[in-house]
Order: sequence, then structure tokens, then C-alpha cells
Amino acid sequence: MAGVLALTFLGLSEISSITGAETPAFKKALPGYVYQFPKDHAAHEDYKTEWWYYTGHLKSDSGEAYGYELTFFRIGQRGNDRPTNTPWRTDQVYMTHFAFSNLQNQTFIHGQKLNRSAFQRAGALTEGYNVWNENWSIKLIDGVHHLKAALPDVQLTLQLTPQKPPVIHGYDGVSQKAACTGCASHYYSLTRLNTQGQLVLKGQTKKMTGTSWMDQEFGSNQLAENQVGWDWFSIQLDNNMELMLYQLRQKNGTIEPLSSGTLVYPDGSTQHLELNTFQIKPTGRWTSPDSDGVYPMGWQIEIPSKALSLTVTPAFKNQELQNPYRQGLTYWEGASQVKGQYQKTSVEGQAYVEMTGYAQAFQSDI
Amino acid sequence: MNGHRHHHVLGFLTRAFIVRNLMQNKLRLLLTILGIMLGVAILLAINLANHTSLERFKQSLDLVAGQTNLEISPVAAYDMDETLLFTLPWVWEKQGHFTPVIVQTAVPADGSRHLIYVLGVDMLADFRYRPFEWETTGQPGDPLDILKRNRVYVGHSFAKQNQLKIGNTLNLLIHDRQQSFEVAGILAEKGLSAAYDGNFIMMDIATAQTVFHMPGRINRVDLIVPTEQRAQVQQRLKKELPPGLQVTVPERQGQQAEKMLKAFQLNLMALSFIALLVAMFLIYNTMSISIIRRRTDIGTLRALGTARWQIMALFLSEALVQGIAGSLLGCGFGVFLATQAIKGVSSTVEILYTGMAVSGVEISGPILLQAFLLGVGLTVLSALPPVLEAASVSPAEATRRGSFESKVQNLSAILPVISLILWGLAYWAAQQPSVDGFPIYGHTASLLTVLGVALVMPWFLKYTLRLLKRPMKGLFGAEGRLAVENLQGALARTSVAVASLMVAIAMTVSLAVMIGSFRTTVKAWVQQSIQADIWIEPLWRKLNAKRRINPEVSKKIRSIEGIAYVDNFLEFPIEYNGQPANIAVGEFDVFAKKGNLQFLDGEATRDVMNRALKEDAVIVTETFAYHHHLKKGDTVTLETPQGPLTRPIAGIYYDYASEHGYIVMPWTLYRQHYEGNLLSGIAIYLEKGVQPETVRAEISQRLDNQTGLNIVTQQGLRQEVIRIFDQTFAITYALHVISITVALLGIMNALFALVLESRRDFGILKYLGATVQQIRRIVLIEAGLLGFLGNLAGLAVGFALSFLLINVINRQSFGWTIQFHWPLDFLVQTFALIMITAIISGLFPAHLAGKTLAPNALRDE
Repeated sequence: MAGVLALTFLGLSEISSITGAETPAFKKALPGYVYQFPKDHAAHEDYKTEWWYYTGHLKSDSGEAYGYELTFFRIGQRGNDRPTNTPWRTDQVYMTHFAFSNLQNQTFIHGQKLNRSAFQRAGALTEGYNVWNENWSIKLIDGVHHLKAALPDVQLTLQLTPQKPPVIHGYDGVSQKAACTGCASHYYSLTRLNTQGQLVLKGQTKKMTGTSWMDQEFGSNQLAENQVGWDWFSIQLDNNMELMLYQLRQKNGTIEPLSSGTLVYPDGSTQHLELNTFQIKPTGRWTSPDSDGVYPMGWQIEIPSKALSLTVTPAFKNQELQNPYRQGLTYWEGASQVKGQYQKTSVEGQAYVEMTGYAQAFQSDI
Repeated sequence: MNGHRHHHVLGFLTRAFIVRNLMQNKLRLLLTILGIMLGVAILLAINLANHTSLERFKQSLDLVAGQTNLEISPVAAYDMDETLLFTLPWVWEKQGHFTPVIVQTAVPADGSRHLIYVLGVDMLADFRYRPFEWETTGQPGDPLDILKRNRVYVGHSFAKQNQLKIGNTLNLLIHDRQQSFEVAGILAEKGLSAAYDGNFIMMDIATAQTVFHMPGRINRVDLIVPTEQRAQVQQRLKKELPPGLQVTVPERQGQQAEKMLKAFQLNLMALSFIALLVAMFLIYNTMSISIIRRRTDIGTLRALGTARWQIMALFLSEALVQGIAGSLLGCGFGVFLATQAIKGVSSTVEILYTGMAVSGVEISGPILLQAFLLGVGLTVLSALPPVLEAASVSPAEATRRGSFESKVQNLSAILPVISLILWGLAYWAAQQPSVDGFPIYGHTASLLTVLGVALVMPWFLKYTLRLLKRPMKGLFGAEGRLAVENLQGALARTSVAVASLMVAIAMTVSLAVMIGSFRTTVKAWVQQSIQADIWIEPLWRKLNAKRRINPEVSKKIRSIEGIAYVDNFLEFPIEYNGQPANIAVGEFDVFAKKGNLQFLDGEATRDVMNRALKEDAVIVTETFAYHHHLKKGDTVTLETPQGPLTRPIAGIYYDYASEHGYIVMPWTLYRQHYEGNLLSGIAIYLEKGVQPETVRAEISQRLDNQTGLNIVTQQGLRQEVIRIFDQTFAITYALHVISITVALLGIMNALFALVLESRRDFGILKYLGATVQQIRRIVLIEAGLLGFLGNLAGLAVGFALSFLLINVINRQSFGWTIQFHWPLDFLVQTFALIMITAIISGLFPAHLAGKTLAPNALRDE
């Protein structure tokens, strides 16, 4: 789901490319898609947009806690209105975000890389899972996801091993985002990956262990014009259950009825959750000093049918990624803590929360 | 207490002695101050114009370099292969970044004459290197439109000037063709937007490579690496880069620009000094004469116990007041002049060096202060000799009339010896090499020459006037004789007046001779060297030598009837041993048949070219050989993409197209060592008897009247070269006019002083029965004599100075051989102008002298 944010950046190009008469059409995400793993980890260039999204909670040997987000977006380019006769003409653009939350001193750093596929500056193979943007990369080797990302003071190298099979969201292989045909994506998650690796923080090398979450999503033209943003939750509970929820907010202040979620049981079995089965209530507010965006901060989540009640609390408030040079979007993506009850037993856990459309409504100029 | 009294006395003396004198001689004071003003103004104007044109260019380079702190660029090639980028990913591991850059130029298709700098970059990732903001109304709709064809992003002022809005069409001449672009974004006013005086646009590298016909090629790679890693990364790159590439810091581009402009700017500065030098003589003249007049007063003051230092302070304060007044006015006027000078200077800089137009002058505090202090300082300095002389006066000596005259008479035997020594030194200095490319010794030699002539003046006048006495009497009767005798009697004052005239005339004459000789030389060169019947080049190539023609053009026209030979020509700037230079490529076999280059040793073009073809040799221009101390048969080593290339020099030829010079190689050699096949121009030789106009029309038709190409015939091309020459010398002409003006001021000033100070003599004459008409005639004849003598001396010295200018100063600065040529018409005009000014300047003093009443004039006695 996280990657839908790419569409705010890309949404415009999606719509403009629809108008290009001679543009060969991208495939739409339609019901009936059959996943094959690990093949489906690799790039799907028939679809316009695609992303690989990782978040995780890490702890060092000495108990310091950190959170990270590493997301690769791929945006397909087609059409004849492009330059000819140059290696820089590209069919693919890659945008990558890396964010790092230091829970000790509550600092948040983040960076973006935006590149086209020329000169191997960025790419995603269609055979084999290998995605990179400059020196940030993901590679699948023998079932282990190898992640690499670095910012001037933070270099992260992680190995992620899935503990559960992929969870396919939605019905019949599609996660519907709006009522229109094809306004959907193919969306699956690896909801629990054992994580270990190494962090170099200001020159100091630390061993890391923890748990990560992976999403992959691909589709074409999936958003509707009246959607202004969304709130998305990936929750990992210590009872070995996971929960994904999202709600798409509409211009008129209502929630897109097709917003949904998935509950994952310890054995890997899943339960699709329609909007009417859950409630998300903000418990606080926070105004970003950088973007002036006003975000909800803290949530109460209720799923009565499953006797699940959770309080989600951000690890700290300022985990906002700012839009660099008006490329991409300003959004909040942060490590959070979870407490609550499941079947009258108290549970704890951790989460990543994503909120978009608060600092600026996407597609506002349309 | 003591100091107090001194102060009091000085105050009184200043009022009585200096202020009164200044008040009495308002006109001369005015002329002197005007002279200083002009001198300071012209110096300041040139300095500001120089400063502005260089600084703006450097600022643009800085803006465009942005956050970049290392650059990879070709040493001696036009562009580079971008596959280098595949070898650089290790830079990411060092937390660094790298991005390709294309720097090109375009011209608006609407006919405006300025170049537009085009920056072709990876618009997706470039923000990191050149951060900028979008204008509120200039934000791209979709960031990914960057990847679409022919989108351009323009600066705030460019958009404003051309009334461009998002979505508008912008037509540009790219190389030899017109292309349409869509304005997809407008950069906010600050920062990058101001580069190249706003004549600046950006486009994605994909579009740039496509429209500039350079797939796979780039001009440089910009890198940002963490400061602490910079040296290490630079070191590693130095080791690993393929041949022909260099890694440098971006500041180097600014240094290169400085180097490129250095000779031009320094020499312009030196020329602008001329007006100030002439003004110095003006001061010297005024001060000398006014001190001579007051020698008896000085003697009286000395007898009354006034100390020497007090006398000095008195007169120096007089000079100081004039210096300050003149310099202040000069600063004001200079700023105004600079707004005019910038047009001349920047258009020369634009055409010859940067291709960047500059509007408006950047006022710099330090430069203003420098000009002011220089004005004041030089005023006081030139007043110093007469002031020192005044202070050395002993009471008894000074009260005697004519004591100074007799002193000068006595000295006139020694002064020529000093002059000879100065000339000897000048001769020695003229033989010295330049210091760091600047002919400091050449300029010193000029100064020494002038100084020597000034000192020998009393001696020269003593004999010349003696010789003139008889012919003057023959011509003008008694008045002629009396005029000569008057001047003889006031030899010291006459010398000062003639010397300052001489300086002024010499300076203007030498400049005129230099420019005239240069122009004649270039004209002859153009006649000989431009042999092609038709020449094709991209429009506005003269503003930027990197503009190109597609080689298809050459192929298309080759078969036109009447064309005997086609010579494809290419040139690009390089660096040779750290100095700017150019490579040119041509068809040597065509040149062997049709070319007519003038080789230094007189060898025929055909022989040199055939030998060069056989030996894969190059030919170089005189300027290149001069700057790099090369002889025929020596070798040049070029950093090519294929590694170092060492080739012998088959010949050295005269060329006036670039002071930095050319290395010319045959296409065969170029193709072995360089990549890229675009052309700078096409020279066409016709078969005998074929009309160039007919073929020209046929060419236009074959090329479907393609806009963006300039097709000229031989005559047109020759005229164009001369036109550019004149344009680039426009500023020099302007300087010339101003130094003539200062010189004329000097003449008037000198005459006023001389005649006014001789009022006593006229009084006596009147007393003896001379009529008003006779006295007026005498004064006019004196004026004419002064003008004549000054002219004579000025022409002689001007001749010597022009020798220095041509053979030492120009040679060392630019490396050109200039054939000496007398611009006779100009010299005659100058001579006449100065004679007329001299006589007109005599009118007012003559009028005054005629009015002088005998008792009044004699009362002093």
C-alpha cells in the first residue's frame, strides 16, 4: 500500500499519459491474477507503476532501538513524445526513499534518489529479484532479501528471512482502490521477516537484529481523482499475528468504501477486512514545523468482529519525509508502538504508519 | 603650543597663498580638475567594465557548477564518451554523486543577437548539484514531463524578457537548425536563474543529446563528494581515468576564464592608464608654472622664517585639493562612463572569449576607492617635483627674478645626459621578456622613453627655438621674433608646456599607429588567407565556436555543379600546457591545392601541406608557437581520447583569428584519435569562371533554405572579419578619443598658463608702444609655436612608442606579428586638430594679454 504515495508524484503522469493517443497502454490490475513466487518479486514492466517497500524495527546488541524504511518505486514510461537517439531516453524511472528513525535521540533522517534506468544508475530486473538505485539495493539470494542503503551518517546492510508465505491482499489477486475498472493493484506482503545485519552510525559499526515487513504492489492508473490521501498501518504483534489496514480519504472528507485490510494469523492464514469491519480513530494531532501539515498522531484501532483492540503510538512525532525540490511528496512514515487486547488477552507489538495528503493534497492541481 | 601656532600660520598662509591663487586662476583650475577627472574616470570605467564582464562570467560558472566540487572533463577534446559513467559507481560508495553535463549554446530564432547558454543535465537527479526553486507560476505540471521530448526550463528573467509562460513554444537555433521547444518550467529569480545574465535555459540530457546531435557524448561529469573524501577521490580518478580526461576542481573554470581574458583585460587597463598619465603631466604643468610664478613670494616667505616643510605642505595641499576634487568628479563620471564602456568591453569579450552578453555595470567599492586613491596619489606625485624644487629655494635665490630660469638653463646641459640614461634603460627594458604573459617591461620602456623626452625638452627647445628665430621673423615679422624670444626667455615654462603636449600627442599617435598597423595587417591577411569562394557556417558561430553543422550538409552540396573542392572545417577549444588554445581540423589536400597561408619562413602552402599529409604532421599558428616557444620541426603533444598524440610541426603560419592560437591537423589524423563528426564550417572552392552567387543560390535550394546556416561568399566573409576586428577595437577607439580630449585640455591649460604668466612682459611691450593687435598676434604665434613644437616632439615620440606597442607589448601579450603601417590620414588630421586647438586656445589669453594695461602689469615690479 505504501507505494500508492508514488502515485501522487506519478498520478499526474498517469493521467497525462492516458491522453497520449499513440501511447501503447499499460496492463491494468484485473481480477484473476495468479502469483508465482519468487518470480513475482521481480519487476512487472507491463504495469505502469510498481514498488517494493520495506520497513523494520531493529535493535542493537546493547539494546538501542531503530526503525527504517526503504522503498523502491518504478514508474514505466511509454509514448512517442520522447527524445530519440540518446541512451538517456528511458522506459523506466526509479524513485527510492530511505528513512531512518533513531529512537534513542528521536532523530529522523531520510533521503531520496531519483534516476532513470540509463547507465545502470537504477534498475529492476524482470528475471530474478534485483532492484537498485545507485548504491541502494535489494537482492534476493537463496530466499534471503539483502538490503543496502546509506545516507551520509547512516549505512545499513540487512539480511531479511521471511517467516511466513506471501500474503495476497484483496480478492482474486487484486486490491481494489476505487470502483472503476483497473483502479486496483496487485498487492502482496511478507508480513514478518527475521532481520539481521549491520548499521554504521557516524562511523560506529553496530550489529542489528529485528523484524521487517515487505510490501510489493504493481498496477496502472489505480487511483481515482477524488482521493486526497490515505492512512496505512502495518502492525506486527508479539502473538505472531500481523495486521495491514488502509483507508483512502476522499475530497469530500469521507473514506473510500473500498478501503480495506488483511489480518494474518500465526499460521499464515489470512482474513480480508472490509471497511465496515474496522474503525481507526485518531487520538492526537501534530503539526509539522517543516511543512505545516497537520497530522493525526496516535490511533485507536477497533476490529470488533475479531475482538481486536489496539492503541498505536508513534515512537516519536517528527518522522516526516519532506519533498525534495518538489519531486515526490511530503508524507509521514514512522515507527510506532502498539498495545492492546486480542481475544481479551493483552498484546504488544510494533507498527509502521504511513500518512499522506496532510501536507499537500495530492493531485491538487487537477 | 608650538604646533598650534604652526597650524594657525599655515591656515593663514593657505588662505593667502593657495586659495587666492586658485580663485584667480579659475579657468586653469577647471581645466586641471577636468583633466584629472577624465583620467580617473576612464581608468575607473575600464576597470569596472573589465571587472563586470569577468565577474559575471565567473559568477555564471559558479552558479552552474552549483554544489559540484569535482569535475571530469576532456583536456584537449570537444566532448567525451559518456560510457565513462559505467566506471564511476564506486563514487556512490564514498557517499558521493556524479552526473553528466552538457554545456552548449543556442540562439533565439526571433533574430535577437545574444547567445543562450544551454545546460543539458539529468533533470531528474540534478537538483542535488544545482539546487533551484520553481517560480510559483512556473512549476512543471508533471515532474516526469522532464523525460519528454524538447521540454525546456527557463530562468526567471529569460521568461520575462521573452514573455514566456508554461506551455509556450520557444524556437531556438540549435547548431544549424531551428527547433521548437515547449517551456515546461520557470526557475525562480534567485540563484541559477541569473546565470549568463539570464540568457540561460536547462533541458534534460536526453533532449540535449538529441537536439545537439551528440548521442552518447557529454561535455563533462560533475561530482559531489564529501569534503573529507575529495582529495582521495580526486587522486583515485586521476589514476583511473582513461586518457584525454582530467579531474579538476570547479574553481578552475573561473581561473581558465581569467587566463583567457587576461591579456585583453590587462592591455585595456594599460591603455586606460594613458589618459591618467596625460592628466599627470597636466598637473605637473599647472603646478610647475604656478610655483615658478610665485617663486619670489616663496623667497619672501622663506626670508620671513617660514620653514621648508611649511612651503611644501602649502603647495602639496594645493595639489591635494585639486586631486581630491578631480578624483571625486572622476569617480562619478567614471561610473557613468562605465555604463557606456561595458557595451564595448562586453561585446569584445562576448565575441572573442565568452560568448556571454553582459548588461549593467557592477559597481565595486574597492575599485572605486582604488581609482580615487590613484587619482589623488598621482596628482600629488606629479606635483612633487615642482614642490620639492620650491621648497629647496633659498630666500636670497628666490627673490631674484628668473632664478628658476637660470637654474633650468644650467641644468639643460645635464638633463640630456639623464635622458640618455633613461633611453638606455628603455632600450634594455624593451628587450626583456614578459612577466607571466604581461609585458610589464614593455610598458616600463614606454614610460622611460616619455620621461626621457620630457627631460631633454629644455635642451631641445633651446636649439630648436634658436633655429626657428629667423624663419619666424621671416614669416611673421617682428612679432614672430618676439614670440620666439618670449618662449626662449621662459624656457622652463615652455618646456613643461611642450612636454605635456608631447606626452598627450605621443600617446594618441602611438595608439593610432598600432591600431592602424594592426588593421592593415589583418586586412592583408584576410585577402591572402581567405581563398574559399563560399563559406558555410552555423549562424552566430562568431559568438561561440562550439556551434556546429551537421556533416550531412556537406554531403548534400558536394555534387553541385561548379564546385571544385569542399573543405570540411572543425575547431574546438582545448587546453595546451594549462593555457587556452584551439584545435582546428581541415582537408589538407584541398589546402595544398587552393590554400594560401602565409608561413613564417615563406614556404609555399602547397609544400607544407603535402609534407604534413605525408608525415601526419600538424601546422600551428604564429601565436600558438609564440606562447609555447615552438619552432618548425618541434613536436606538439595532445591529450586525445586515444591517449597522448605527439606530432611534428610542419609549418608555422600567420593568423589573427585567435590570440591563443591554433593547432591544425588533417582529418585523417583527427579521425584516428578523436570522436565526433560535426563540423564548424564548410569552405567551398569553385571551378574557374563559376559565379559564386549562382552556386550560393543552388546550395540554399539544396538545403531547403535551412535556417540556422550562414552562407557567405568570399567577399562577404572578408568583410565580416574586418567588421569583427573593428567591433572588437571599438573600445580602444573610444579610449583613444578620450585621451585626445585630455590632451587637448592639456594644450589649452599649458597655453593659458604660459600666456597669463607672461602678462608682465606684455605690459612692458605695451609700455614700449606695442599695439593691442601686435600683442595678440604675438600670443597667437606663441600658441601656434607651442602646438607645432609639441606636435613635432609628439610625433617623434609617438613613433617610438608605437614601435614598443607593436613589437614588444602586443607581441608579448598576444603573440601577433603586426606589420608597421603609418595611418597617414589620421596623423595629418591629428596634427591639424592640435594646431587648430593650440591657436584657438591662444585666442582667449591673447584677448586678455591685449587688454592688459601697462601700469597694471608693471605694478608688481
